[in-house]
Amino acid sequence: MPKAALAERILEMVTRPQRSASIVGDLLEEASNRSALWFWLSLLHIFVSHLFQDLRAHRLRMMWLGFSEFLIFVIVVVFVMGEFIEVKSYFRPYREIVHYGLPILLGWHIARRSRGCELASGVSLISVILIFRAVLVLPLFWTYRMMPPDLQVDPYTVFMHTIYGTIPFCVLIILGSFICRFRMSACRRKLLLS
Amino acid sequence: MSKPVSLGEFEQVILLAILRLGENAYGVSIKSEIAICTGRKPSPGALYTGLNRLEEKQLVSSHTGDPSPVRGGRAKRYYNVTPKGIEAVTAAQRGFQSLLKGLDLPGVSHA
Repeated sequence: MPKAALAERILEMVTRPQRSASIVGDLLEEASNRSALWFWLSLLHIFVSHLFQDLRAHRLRMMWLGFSEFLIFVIVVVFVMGEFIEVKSYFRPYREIVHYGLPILLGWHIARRSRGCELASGVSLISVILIFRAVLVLPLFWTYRMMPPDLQVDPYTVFMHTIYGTIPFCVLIILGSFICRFRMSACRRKLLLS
Repeated sequence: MSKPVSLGEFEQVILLAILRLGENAYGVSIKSEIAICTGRKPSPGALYTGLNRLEEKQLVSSHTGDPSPVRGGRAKRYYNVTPKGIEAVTAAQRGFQSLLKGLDLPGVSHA
């Protein structure tokens, strides 16, 4: 059954292959008198629960990984690439590689550093980035009244714009973590079969 | 003697359901046993993460059974409560019992 095989692969992102197979088996057993929607919603629920369990169970490690990866990101962007982007900004392919490749690379790198909870560490990095960006914008809520009227901006709009602007970056980080996890679970599956 | 592991309410429910089911405790049967006994349907996410957590705490152990066609050829994972798990759930229930002592709650009888 293709849906079961796909479901198994999805669950392998957050749990061990043998465990994911038995969970999908349980869902299939129950799904015989329920709709396909129930099956996928249950799977989504299990996926999210496992992801947040990883975050809760290793919260200190996740916080450390998130902050340290964020520092790596800042160092790379500000000290290594920043100047280069400015100088070579007319060279479009390079900018695109930096914009789209860097978050994927970050996601992949943090996942490599956190064996067993690859996706959770990606989520941790995203949280740190979102908090950092929010903290940068928050003072605007107090200071915008002090600005000249022609420069005044709605702080709420700026805040939401900042958060929305970060979403594609976050999606690419998760994609990087996914790639790493997918490769690892493929290796685990191979080991299990051999 | 080591201090027994502290258990959440739902973890106790899962442990008691596994104990009631004996040899036939796997995901689906545990879920239906909880629904029958407590009247609440546990969400699949909560149940499987709860089982994972209990296994990490070494309060339950698991082994895979034989694959069956109803399950798309996938094996059941059977759960057993370990001696440490029995000790933890007993301690938790003893705590409940001593809290109930002297209280007159409607429909609740206690030794």
